Amino acid sequence: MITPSFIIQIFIGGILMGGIYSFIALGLTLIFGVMKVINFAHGALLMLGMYTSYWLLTIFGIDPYLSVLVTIPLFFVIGWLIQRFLIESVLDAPHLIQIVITLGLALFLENIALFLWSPDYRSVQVSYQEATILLGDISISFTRLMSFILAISGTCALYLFLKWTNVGKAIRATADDKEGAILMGINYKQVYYIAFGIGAACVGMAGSFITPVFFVDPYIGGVFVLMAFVVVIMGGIGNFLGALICGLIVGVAESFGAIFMPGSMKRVLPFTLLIIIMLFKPTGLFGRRT
Amino acid sequence: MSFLVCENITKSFGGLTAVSKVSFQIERGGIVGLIGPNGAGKTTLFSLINGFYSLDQGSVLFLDEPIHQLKPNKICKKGIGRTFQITKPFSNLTILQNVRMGAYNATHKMAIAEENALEVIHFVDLGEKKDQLAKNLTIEDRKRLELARALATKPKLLLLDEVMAGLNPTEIEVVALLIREINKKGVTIFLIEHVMKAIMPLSDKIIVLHHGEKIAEGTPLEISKNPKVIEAYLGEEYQFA
Amino acid sequence: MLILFLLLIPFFVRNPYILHVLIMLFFYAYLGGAWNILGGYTGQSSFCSAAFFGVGAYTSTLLYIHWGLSPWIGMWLGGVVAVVIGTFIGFLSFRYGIRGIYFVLITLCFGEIVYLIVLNWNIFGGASGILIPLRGNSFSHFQFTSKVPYYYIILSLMLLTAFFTYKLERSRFGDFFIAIREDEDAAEVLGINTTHYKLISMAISCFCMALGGTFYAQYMLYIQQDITLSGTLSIEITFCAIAGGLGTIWGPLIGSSVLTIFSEISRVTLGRYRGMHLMVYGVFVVLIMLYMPQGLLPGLKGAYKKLRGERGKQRDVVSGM
Repeated sequence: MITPSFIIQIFIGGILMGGIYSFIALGLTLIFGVMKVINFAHGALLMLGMYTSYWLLTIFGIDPYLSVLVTIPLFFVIGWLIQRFLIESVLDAPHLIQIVITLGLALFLENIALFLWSPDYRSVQVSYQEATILLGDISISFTRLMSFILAISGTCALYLFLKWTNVGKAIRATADDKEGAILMGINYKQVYYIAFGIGAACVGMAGSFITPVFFVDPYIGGVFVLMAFVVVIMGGIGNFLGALICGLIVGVAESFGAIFMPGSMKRVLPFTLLIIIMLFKPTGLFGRRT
Repeated sequence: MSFLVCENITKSFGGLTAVSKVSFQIERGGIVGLIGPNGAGKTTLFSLINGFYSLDQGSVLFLDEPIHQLKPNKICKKGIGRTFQITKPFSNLTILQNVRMGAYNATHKMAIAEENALEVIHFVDLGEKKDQLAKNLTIEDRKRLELARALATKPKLLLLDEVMAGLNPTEIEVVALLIREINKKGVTIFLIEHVMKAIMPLSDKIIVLHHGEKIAEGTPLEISKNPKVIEAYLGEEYQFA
Repeated sequence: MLILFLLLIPFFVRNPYILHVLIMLFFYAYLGGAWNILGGYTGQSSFCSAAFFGVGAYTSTLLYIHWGLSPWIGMWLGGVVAVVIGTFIGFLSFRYGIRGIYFVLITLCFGEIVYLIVLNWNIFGGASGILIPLRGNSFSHFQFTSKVPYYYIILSLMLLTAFFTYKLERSRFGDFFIAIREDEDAAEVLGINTTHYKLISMAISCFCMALGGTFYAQYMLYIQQDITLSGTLSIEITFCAIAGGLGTIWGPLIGSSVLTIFSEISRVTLGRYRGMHLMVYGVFVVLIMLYMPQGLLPGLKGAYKKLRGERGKQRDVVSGM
């Protein structure tokens, strides 16, 4: 029955999911915007973030939301290393080579997970797993709401970091005009390490706080990363606000799509939307003209 | 029959007007220069004539036929060739292969294209280097390759975008001579240049753009005395012949 | 010479497992070669090869199962369907000036969409896929009990593609494809209708992919979208071409040889450790990209030349004394 509260429920569900997509996309758009590299391993990193939190909970009893204290620094280092040893040497190479490298990395990471932890689905069980919040006749899952809040907080924190700190400004300068930044004395290689580190930290963090929401298996990253790409392109590469807004749009589109389309078909909607946007405005809905 | 007629050409990007209501004509057979301070819209104008950008307003007629709706490859087939300010060679191909690509505009046969390409290569004096890879060339040779490639398409009108930029005075002399030779063969030339010493003696007529508008048109002598032109260039270090 | 050797292999190799590996090797080399035409020569990197492969597989299979049409004919129809679909997506992309990384993304999305549609439409067998009814040894039904006929079919396909590529390199079309790859704008300005030639390149590539799909269906006698339409397949095909050497005739064969054999060896030795062989595969591909980004064929050629050059210098030093 299509009642107004039904529509609102679907809408809110979409927004909550969208916030998560936004945050995942944020790391991707940062890397893409600064280094002009498409990180196909982004989904694999998300998956690793999820496993990290899973094991921290299972072995040490650390709550997934608290585990971000571990995942953020851990993944920052991982990102740094990836940029230093894998990406740096192919920065000027044709895009295809960069794609293959990140794909190879993704393949490697996915299969390490497969090897170490088997293909079985795992899901965490926390005390508040089933909790819901009721607003009138709309019920909102607590875990999804928490994830959303954390995602938005993370987004704001990152935004402020880029806007106000010196490092953040250096990153933005290098993204805008590498030559100019070098002339200003900015060590662009360091900036790149940091940027990839932050990008990886973001997605690792995202992995942590979606662990209570989704099951985890070695392939969970794949679906998310494609959605993240959709969000990044739609919002305009390197455009934060764009990624934020488009993440929400994608989330809502998928949510409404689920009503009309069976099972996994709902994902067709965001992809089709992306193709249409790329055809008519390849710089994205909010992208700047190159 | 008119040769090239541009009427009221206007183009904006976002909020910025790059070219505004520019009108002029070019007669067959001569050499016409296009000058103007940086950012005046010269390259944009070329890209509009050439089909890379679409006009917001106005029209471009070549040999009495409207071409402003056509794609660049069709415009090349109609007889307009173009070089780029920043050269765009086929890096991993040899000079011969590069020029052969242009020669295909006039023939389907690979053998004939290759013959024509060799002719053009010798004409621009790159014969000895014909088997060198484009990515290994000096700037001077790259400019020459760009010219040769466009020439191989057998154009009636050749748009040259700063073909002398980055060259030393001797090299500039050589290129100027080359341009005259090409013109003598019957190719009409429309060129953008910043090197005043070269473009003034070369051109029959000069068109001046400033902030996207045509501010003057006339013989090199008239232009050098035109107060509007002098004012536009005040602050730039160009010297008039 | 090599070709003669390849043709004669089944005469002294009877082991079905080795034949299978060789068939897979040529299979990927064939598909890699098809990808190379669009990706290596024309410079348009598509990541939805699996979609066209799948189109071929499903078209011929469905026509066979529901209408009894011989897969030999279904194969060509599959090719036609793939060309139609490929030209459609290509036209949309090229007409709107989609290039480089954006083309990669559009093809990725497109591949996903095709996968999702097939997954959710029952006519395609859903999650359990489609089994092709066994007919034993029957040429008209494109089924054989021995691996040998399959070997020759895929070998022929691969050699034909290599030959086609050879002819292409020496033709006007090849010139245009390469010009587009090197600098599309420059090609346009020289009178080359880039959209037109990109579409032709795409059509050829899609057609070959589809034929490969039918072959696969008839060889494995089972198709399911996780195998035939997966992004992983697209990536594997692309890897073979890139690792071997883009824009070369034998690159895909070399790339496929190394990757397939490598893959098999790791599968056999490390297979009991889940995921190990793909891990190694991933590492291997990354290493090739880091140290021989041009691909194995040009990379090895270069290394060989360097070696000869050094030996040559040594000889000069000796004789100069």
